[in-house]
Amino acid sequence: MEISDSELVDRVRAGDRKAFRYVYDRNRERVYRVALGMLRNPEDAMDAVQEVFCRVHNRMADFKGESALSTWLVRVTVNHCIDKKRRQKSWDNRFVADPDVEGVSDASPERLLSEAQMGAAVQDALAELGDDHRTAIQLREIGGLSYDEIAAVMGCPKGTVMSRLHHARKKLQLLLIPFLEEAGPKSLLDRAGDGVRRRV
Amino acid sequence: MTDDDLDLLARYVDGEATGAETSDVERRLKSEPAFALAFQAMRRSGELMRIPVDRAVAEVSFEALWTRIERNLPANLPKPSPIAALWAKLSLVFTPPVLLAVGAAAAVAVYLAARSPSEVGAPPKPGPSIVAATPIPAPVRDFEDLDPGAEPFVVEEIRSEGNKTIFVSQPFDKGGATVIWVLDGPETSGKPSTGLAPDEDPI
Repeated sequence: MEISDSELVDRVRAGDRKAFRYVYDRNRERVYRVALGMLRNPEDAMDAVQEVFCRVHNRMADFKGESALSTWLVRVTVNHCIDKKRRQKSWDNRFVADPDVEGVSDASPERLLSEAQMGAAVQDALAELGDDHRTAIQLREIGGLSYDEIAAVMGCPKGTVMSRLHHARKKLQLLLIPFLEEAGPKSLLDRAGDGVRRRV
Repeated sequence: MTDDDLDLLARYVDGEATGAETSDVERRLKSEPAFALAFQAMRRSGELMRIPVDRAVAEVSFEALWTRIERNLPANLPKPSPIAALWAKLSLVFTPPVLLAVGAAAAVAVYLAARSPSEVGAPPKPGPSIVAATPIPAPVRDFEDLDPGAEPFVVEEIRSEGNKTIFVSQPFDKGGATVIWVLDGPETSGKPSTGLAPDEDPI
């Protein structure tokens, strides 16, 4: 049986380290994905996850239950990353996937080069977006948040989230045209049926 | 491809489409090549963002990260003060809608308290109506001679040109009185109408 947010919060406030570990296990990947999407550097993202969870642990009393605990954690993460980026005053750290990771090491040099180019192109395209549009599309595509969750994190109506996603996608697709034409192993019509992607 | 089509596709790709929308999209994907191409582009752009992140996530040792986090956690969390804890709990209960409802309930309670007991819950009567329920600051001359200690409340009836006014007041010192109720309405035949049952004491 899943433990409710309020019970978890009460237990963490009471000093229950196992309860906090449960909070960490349940949210660590999403927090890391959001941090990596925003900071674009794996080491910075690891540091951000550490700082976010320490901050959340120490300020658990601030959680008022107005949104889900997971949504609150993402909001803290987004604010932390925005602060960090402001401090760095740089949007030049490019995150390109390391090709020597499990499952990719047997890829051809041409494919690795293509993926490196693709990663750089995606980062360039994201950098072209306004902050709100970029955050919305990253929370959706990388963090896997629902529209309601994005609205809660960004403090705006759901309709605004949909509008931001619409404009972000339009611009990204325009900037990424060369990479969008790669249809992949399955034919277009075969892929149509499994269009609903599972959330993270 | 219209903006509405793109929004529909976005809801489908994001798992936010309704059942009817999902059926509509899947039908159009098979029959409209342009729609299918737009779908492919939308899916692909999302994949392009996720691919490097998915790989990075696969590399992370979340156990090692937990060790780092745990090392930096304080042994004990600072206990919030009792007032802060109480305020935190109250702030959950007394949200603006709740405060509004409490205010409305208080207003209704004041209104009901300002009516006589027999009127509460009874259908409206054409008899006297409450026109004021606040103290009149100026002394009421008619009560000048009343002894403040004799009666806690005084009922006085004044008739004029077919209308009748009943004052329920409490004298507070010689020469003055606090009017608690002023019941005003048309004069009826027989006994003066107070809005109470005939055998009921008006006080």
